Amino acid sequence: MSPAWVVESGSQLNIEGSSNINRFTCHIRQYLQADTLRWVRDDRLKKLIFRNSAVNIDINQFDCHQKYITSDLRKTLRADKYPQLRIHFLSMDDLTWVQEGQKVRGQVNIELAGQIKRYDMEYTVIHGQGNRFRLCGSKQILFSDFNLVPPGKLAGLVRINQEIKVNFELHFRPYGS
Amino acid sequence: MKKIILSVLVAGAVLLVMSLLLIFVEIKFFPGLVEEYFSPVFRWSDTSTDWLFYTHPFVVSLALKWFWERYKDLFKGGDLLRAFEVALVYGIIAMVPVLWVTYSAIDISLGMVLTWLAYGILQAFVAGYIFSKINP
Repeated sequence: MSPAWVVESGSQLNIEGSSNINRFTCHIRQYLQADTLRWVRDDRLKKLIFRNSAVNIDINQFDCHQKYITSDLRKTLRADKYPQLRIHFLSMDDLTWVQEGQKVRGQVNIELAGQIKRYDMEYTVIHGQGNRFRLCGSKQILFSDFNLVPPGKLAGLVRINQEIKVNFELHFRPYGS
Repeated sequence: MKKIILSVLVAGAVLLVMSLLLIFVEIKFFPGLVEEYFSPVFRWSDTSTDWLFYTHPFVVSLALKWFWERYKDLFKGGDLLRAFEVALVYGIIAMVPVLWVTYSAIDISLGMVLTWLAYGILQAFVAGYIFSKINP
């Protein structure tokens, strides 16, 4: 069996966005799924190649701390039909010799509202106890990347802006430990 | 007839500009109140209905012009005083009962309803002043 990492429940993800009125941050209230990322090492490319490995986030767990924005965000992301935000890990620099705080690069597919878009990512690696580690990073994306239209009211005079920033801190432990 | 059409169009255009300015003022000074427009009770912006918003000043202007032509002889005094009286009548007769029932039926704050009342009265004042100037 190929090696794997288990995503721990302390993982965090939030979305920063803005409207033409103010800024808002939507936090995921609970990360419950124990997703597992399976990988193999490609010694030639010095990369980890993931196999069917995704982190699943329940969009209905997002709380923007402003009740109208929270419900509008869920509606915008079509949470009723596509309740999961999925981050499919594709590849990542080999972590074997990575030092504390060092950055590594990787690729993911983000699946949102039935659309999949590929992104190059940069993560900061933070080592923890007992082979545990954290991957931290952020990515600026657009609603339009996923064919989504951010909400506008009053004929568009009051509106959410296209850009959102996804910040994450994923906690991992080796599978079986 | 030409004066009537002219005053409807002028008042409609001025009310449109005023409505846009007031929204930007509201965003700047009362952002908490404007956030409420993200409530699900308000429509999402959509090309099939957005035009209704941008034409509403002309509907208001037309309705107030009809009212003005019918009752303008009741309003005495200078342009400002006549405009004030039109605004008062419009606010009491047209706005207060409608907003009363709106507040009772729809989940919106009292603050928002009061801004609509103030906005309606201001619209009637501006339209009344333009009518008094162009078509006394």
